[in-house]
Parts: sequence; C-alpha cells; structure tokens
Amino acid sequence: MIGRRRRPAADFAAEIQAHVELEADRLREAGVPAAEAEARARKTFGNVTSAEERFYESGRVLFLDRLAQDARQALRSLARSPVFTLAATLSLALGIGANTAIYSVVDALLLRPYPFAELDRLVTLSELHPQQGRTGVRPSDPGYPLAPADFLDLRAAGRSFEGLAAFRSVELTLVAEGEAQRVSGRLVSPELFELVGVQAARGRTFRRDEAEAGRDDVVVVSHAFWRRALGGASDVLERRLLLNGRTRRVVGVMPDDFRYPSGGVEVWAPLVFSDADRTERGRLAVAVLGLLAPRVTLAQARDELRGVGEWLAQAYPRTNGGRTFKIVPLRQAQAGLTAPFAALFQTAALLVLLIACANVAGVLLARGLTRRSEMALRAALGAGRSRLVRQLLTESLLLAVLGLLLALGVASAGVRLVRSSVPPDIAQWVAGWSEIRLDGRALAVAAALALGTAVATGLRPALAAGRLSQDGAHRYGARGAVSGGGRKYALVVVAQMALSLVLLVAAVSMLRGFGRLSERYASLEPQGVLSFHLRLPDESYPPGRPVADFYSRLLVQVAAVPGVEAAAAVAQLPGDLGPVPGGAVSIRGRSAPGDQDLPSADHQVVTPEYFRALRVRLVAGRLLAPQDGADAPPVAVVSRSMAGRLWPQGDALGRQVKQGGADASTPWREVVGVVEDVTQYWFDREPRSTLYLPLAQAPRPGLFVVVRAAGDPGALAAAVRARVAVLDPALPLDEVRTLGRAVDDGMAFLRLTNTLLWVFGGVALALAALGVYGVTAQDVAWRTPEIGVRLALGASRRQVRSAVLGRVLRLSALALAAGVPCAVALGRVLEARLFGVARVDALGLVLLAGVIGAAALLSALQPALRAAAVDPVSVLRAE
Amino acid sequence: MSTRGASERAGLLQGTLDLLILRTLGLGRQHGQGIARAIQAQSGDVLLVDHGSLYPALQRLEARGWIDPEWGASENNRRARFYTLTRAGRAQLAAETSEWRRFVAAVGRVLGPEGARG
Repeated sequence: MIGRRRRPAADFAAEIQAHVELEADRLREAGVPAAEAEARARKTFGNVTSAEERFYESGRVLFLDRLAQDARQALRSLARSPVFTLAATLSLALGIGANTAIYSVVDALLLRPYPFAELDRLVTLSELHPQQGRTGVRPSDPGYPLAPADFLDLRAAGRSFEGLAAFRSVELTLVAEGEAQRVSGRLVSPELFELVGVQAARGRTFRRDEAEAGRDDVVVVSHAFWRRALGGASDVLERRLLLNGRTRRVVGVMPDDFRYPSGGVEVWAPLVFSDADRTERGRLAVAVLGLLAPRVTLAQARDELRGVGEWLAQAYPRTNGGRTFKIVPLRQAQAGLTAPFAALFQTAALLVLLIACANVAGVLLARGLTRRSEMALRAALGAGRSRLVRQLLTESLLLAVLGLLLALGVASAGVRLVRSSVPPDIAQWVAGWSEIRLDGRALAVAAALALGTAVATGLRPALAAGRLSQDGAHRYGARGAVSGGGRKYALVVVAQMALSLVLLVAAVSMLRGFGRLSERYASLEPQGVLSFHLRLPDESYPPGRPVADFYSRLLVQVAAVPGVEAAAAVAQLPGDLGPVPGGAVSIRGRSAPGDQDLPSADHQVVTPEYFRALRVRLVAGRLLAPQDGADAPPVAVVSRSMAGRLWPQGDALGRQVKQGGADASTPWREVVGVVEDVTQYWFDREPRSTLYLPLAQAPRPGLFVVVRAAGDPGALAAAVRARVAVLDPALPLDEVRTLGRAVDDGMAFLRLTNTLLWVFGGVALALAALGVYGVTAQDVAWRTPEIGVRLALGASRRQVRSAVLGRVLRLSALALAAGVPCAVALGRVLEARLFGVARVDALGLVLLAGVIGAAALLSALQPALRAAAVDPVSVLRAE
Repeated sequence: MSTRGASERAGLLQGTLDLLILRTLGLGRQHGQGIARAIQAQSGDVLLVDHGSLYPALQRLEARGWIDPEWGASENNRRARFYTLTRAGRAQLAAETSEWRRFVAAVGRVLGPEGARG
C-alpha cells in the first residue's frame, strides 16, 4: 500500500454497488422476477456495510486512528509521571542542544572556514628560516611570509599549482569630506580572486594588467565598507577614494560573505612588484595563497617546493641558505589557535551527550521495570505484542520530539553565547567565525543518536512483556521474578556520575589555569593603563627621524595631560595577540657571519618611559633614557630571561648585540640594562627573550601608546585624543581601551572555553543528580512490597532509610572509583595539549568527588524518606 | 441457486481464495462479481465465495501489485471495476499453483489411498 495512492471509500462503494447490480442482472437473465432479483443479489452478497467496514480497516485511515490513540495514551502516561518526563526531556534537550551548538561552531571554524568552491585545493605557502629562530610568532602563523623575489621565482617555476597569489596588509587612511579614517586594506595579486573563485557582487575584481605600476589606481571594496563609508551608493563604481594621499577608482564591491584574507578587510588594491622587489630576498613581505593543479596531491606539491627551495638556496646562498617552503592546506592554516579548543569543546559536548543518553536510557529502563506489570497485564488481556511495542515506541518518540523542540532552543542559545563571547576585533581574525550558525546536519546527528537511545531503551519493556506473554509464565504482580534489570540501570547511573566528575574536573582545571594566566599580567597593573594604536602614514612621515620626532612630541603632549603619570610607546602591546616583531640576534665575538643557528628574540621598540608606565622592574644596569637618541651610541636593554639564556654567568651588561646576522647592516648595540620579564602572550609556556630598542634609534611608524593614569584611565581618553588631534588631525586612534581590557580580549577564547566547560559540568551534574533521583525513586517504588514485608517483620524505619541511602552511596563510590582515574588522565591530556590548564590537585579531586557524592545523596533523600514512610499493612494487603 | 445446505459446501481454506482469484484472472480480465461466479461455476458449485472476503482479498492482491484495477463496462454495459493479472501476479500464480499441488499431494499421501479409509 505504501507508495500507492490510497483508494477513496466512495470508489469501493461503487464497486460493491456494481457487483450487486451485475448479480441482479444475472438472476434476471436466469428468469428471476426483477423485484426479487435485486433483493436476492443483495442477500447473496452479504452485509454491504460490513464489507465497507473491512475495506476501511484495511486502509491507512485506521493506522492514523491508532496513531492518534497511541499518542493520546502516551501523553496521558507521560503526564502521570512528570518527573520522569521532565528528566528525559531535559536530558535530551541539553544533550542534543549542546552538541548541536558545539558542532555548529566546529563546523564553521574547522571544516569550512571559507566558503570557497575549491577549498580542498587551496593552500597557503610560507617560508621557514633557520636563522630567524623558531617559526611562528602567533600560534596561527604558519611560517614567515615569502620574500617577493622568492614568490616570483616560485610562481614562474611551480608546476604543482594552477595559480599562486600574493598579498600583504596595508594600512590605509581614507580622507573623505575633510575627515581621516583608518581603513583596513590588503594589497593582492589580481589572481587572488580567481583562485578562491569569488566574483564581485557589483562591478569586477582586478585585471591582471592592473598589477603593473601606473595601472594600479583601482580598488575593490568590501560590502561592509560600501555600506558604511559609501552609504551603499548605487553609483559606487564611479566613486574615487583618496587613500594615503592617492586617488583610486572603485571597480568592484565584494559579496557580503567574502572575508579573505581575513574578516574586517575593507579595501583590496593591486599588489605591484617594483623592480627592487623583483630581486628582494631579504625583506620578507608577502603571504601566499596557492591553488593546487587538479590531481596534484599535497605531498607532490611539497616535493616540488623542496626542490625549488634547494635550487634557490644554491643560487642565493647568502639570503636563502637553509630556507625552505612550507605548504599548509588553507582549511588548516588558521586552525592552530582554535583546533585545541575545538577539540576540548567537542569532547565536553560529547560527554554531555553521553550523559544525556545514559540519563534517557536510565529513566526509560527504570520506568520500564515498573511498567513490566502493566505490560504483562495488558499482554495477558490480549493486547498484541506489536500493539505494546507501538505504544511504547509512540511514548519514546513523543519524548524525543519534546526534547528535540527544547534542544533547538538550547542550541541556538548556545550558538549565540559562543558568538557573543569573543569580541569582534579578535573574532575577525578567526576564519569562519562570522559564519557560525546553527547547523542542521549537526542537529540531525545529535538528534539521531539521542532518539536512537530513547527508542532502543524505551522498547525494552515491550519486548520483555512480549516474552512474558509468550511463555505464559507470568503472574500479574510477581515482582520478584524480574529483578535483574536493576543492576543494568545502576550501571547507567554509575557511568553518569563518573562522567560528570570528569567534566567537573576539566572545568575546574581550566578555571584554575585561567586564574593563574590572568595573574601573569598582574605585575603590569593593566587596569590603570590606557592604550591605543597609531600608524603614521609613510606619505606624511617618511621612515626614520620624522617618525621618532613625532612620537617624542606626542608623548610629551600626552604626559602633560592632567592625571597622566607616564606615557610611552611600544611596538607590540603585551597581552594583545598581534604579532610582536622579532628575529635573530647576533652577539659580538660569538656569532660569525653566515651563522645559521642564531638565538632569536622579540625586538620590542619602546620609548624610555615604557618601563615606568608598565611597572617593569630594572634588574641590573640602567633603563633606556632620553639621551639614547639617534646620534648617541646604539644601546639595548634585555629581558631577564634573554640575559639568562645568552649570558648564564650573569655578565650581560656591556655586551654587544645586533638584530639579524653578524654581517647584517644593523648597528652593534651595547647592552646597558636587564629588566624583569613581561608576559607577551598568555599562552607562552616560558618567558620570551626580549630585546628592547629605543624608538629614537629604531623608529617604526606603527606603535601602541600606553598611558599610565593616576586615576581612571578611561577618563583620559578624550583628553588624549585631543592632544593627538592637535599634532595631526588626520591621524586616527585605533583600539582605544585599557590594557586590562586588551589582556581580557586576548584571553577571550580561554574564557569561552572555561564558560562552556562550567555550563557542561553543571549540566552534567544536574543530569546525574536527576538520574540518581529517578533511579532511586523507581527502585523504591519497585521494592515497596519488599520494604513492607521487612517493616512487618520488624525492621526499623531508620534501617530502611539507610538501606536506600547505602545503595546510593555504594553506587557513588563505584562511580568515583571509575571517574577519578579518568579525570586524572583527562587532566594530563589537557595540560599537555592546552597551555594554561592547571591540573587539579588531590584536595581538589576529593572536593569534587564530595560534590558528586553529596548531589547523589541529596537526590536520593526524598525516595529514601518515602521508603521509610511505607505503611506495611496496606502494602501487604495490596499483595 | 443451490439447494444444498451450507454444511455441504467446502469452506475455503485460508489463503486459497487468493490463489483462486489469481487463477480466474489468469484466464482474462474480470470484475469482482465475475470472479465469484467463475469460481463457483468452475468448482461445480462446491466453492462459494464469501463476498465479504472477496473484496478484501482483491484489495490485498492489488496492494501487492499482483493485479491491476481499471474501471470499464461489462458485457451488459454496466460500469464495473475490472482486474487484470500483472506480470508479478502471473509469477505468483505459478508459484502458488505448484505450492498448492505439493500441498495436496502431501496431504493425499498422509491420508493414504481412497480405499484404505474406514
């Protein structure tokens, strides 16, 4: 009948009518009088109504009827035991919801971070430089950008690639209607858009010839920029923008969801290689995206790159010696930062789902046991096994549907929580972050798992009842006969408690680590510091002395603001996740020209007041001073860890160091002081080596300004802005916030992880408590006759009570025995994989175990009291 | 139509009605009343089809795809629902026929030769 259109009842009635008429015709032909023929025909046919009824029963109408009947019955049955219904529904909702939310996030960040058609073939290329020290400044940095000449050689030689595109970020200042604003820009090879297969939403992307000098006065803008800065003007393609003092024509607007190379990019301009660039192998400049040729594997491309690298190293030994190319699938390029967190979230969510499934299984099993009598009775009264199965199935499905509806709410709340927990200026660096949304497939998988559990465990009593009715050995009320199931759901409860312990331990580990990590910045007293970022445009501030002069004038102005204790500038703010400049360091008398294996350090450019502003203590020698000017002898200050690593004897002062190799053009500097270590990134396992250079001797246009306030740093922002505007009204201030806020923003992922683990841990504990309650309550209900007999035989109520609680205690002990080793093992894994996790000590474990045990006992209290209140007389009479 | 009492008529064994319907339709398309008549006539009035079972059986066979219904006109020009044997139905008829023969032969062997009785 499935797949066929159901036959209307009227059609059937017509067929029967035809039959009667045909029969009457036959009788009339045989000589029966017309009047009688009709009656006899009807009589031989039998009961027309009954035939029609049988037709009705054979149709699907009846199936629907029964379904409605089953649903009504299931609803009544669920309403009769609200605790059970609530426990099962909430478990499903939390388990499915949490998993859907987490997998939605993981899917967006790890599986399809970019919505590109050929994502599987897209790769990022970078260079590894032995003399640059260890690779990767930020954990997400796959390596170093390529030198322009290396990129051009690779593009000419590489056979494994359908195309290669270079890009680099550029700081742009847009002047429109007399006002200057900072615009985030990228210079890109025109091929970039072809490689990712994205076309402009309006206009076009770049033509190849627009990467030639003189033809590059074109830009493509982001959808957001078009709306924000151009007011969504329809004549956008005729607009001209004044960017960094140069007029450029808008030729295209990208689609709203185009976020490459990162979110927040507003303007793309062609990347032009100058003649100097074509031979430049020292200055590292461009990030590179490649599209693998069809059917070329990553391993093949890697082999080819190794060959090209060796060839370049032979041709240009001075710059390229030991330099190799690194190739990483685009999908993974950004996963370095997020992957360990994602793995943790996934594990936690999976544990919650497991606990939820265990809970559903537990309550359904327990309920099934108490309903065995009902099932057996109904079977004895003639209900078919299929009918019983169907009713229980309906009940399980109804629960599942209720749970699923709630799960949708939980999941969308979870996705919102995750999205809002990371500030936008951090999130824009995470590929796929803005694409995080509720994922239907994730929901389907989690739902299938939970529903499967519900259906599988929900059917058990019906199958058992079927067996009972088959062998006919059942007597209604013979409770003693079926006690084996009790052990099974006790195991379920044990598993739940053990899993919640594991989750709680993980949450507490994170929390402890989180606290410890925040304290790494405490010595800077970050709450009292206002910070912001400035980038002097090259056009108005030629690199070199004008840059240093501007900053020294600016800092004098800012320091004069009432309430300012000290004002300084630094290349990279501690706590901010941006890249800190750094590289090789040579030591006079120790490093020879051409050395490959040089020590590396961060090259922090600072102004003299920096140490006072951030409370960085002097350990030996002197701090940088205003007299360390451009014409004074070159000097540097080193961090305590750097001094300890390079001069373990403690004789750092007076040594000569320089940036880069021994034969680099940078000057030798005398180490004049050693200062206390400053934590740069919260995930640094050990203090970094830091070389502090005076800004006057190493000017750079982009710096963070830090302002130590005597009072509330936020109150200074307006006055500081005004001072900057006096010096240069066209200079925008970026990322204005307190240092405390900057540190917090940097730790956003950690905080999110921690929040989620707490939520999961709490949910797990609540589920386990519900499970204990449900199982104990059912157990007491099940044993009521036995308890009645014991009471009648002289057991005291206290004994009954402690028997129930004792059983729960034994279960808890078992759960803790299983859970503690797992929790300890998980703690080790977390500590190894996720920096910042502090293993929970023995005392902490005992406390958490106590929490689990107490929750279990509390949940069992009410059923225990009910057991003790059993009236033996009425129970015995009922038997 | 018949003077014999109900007790003398052979009741249809469960399942044989389907076979008989298939067999009847094997001779050509027919409507419900025609099928009942044909079975009764060919069995020498021994097998009387209970019409209350006939139509559910037709429903069942139709659902399994063994017969195809189609409204048409009878020889005396009445509108009737005609059934035709499908390809699957023909195969089923062959299978059920040989099954039935095996069954009859087996029962026959158990009962022994006619003369051995009583």
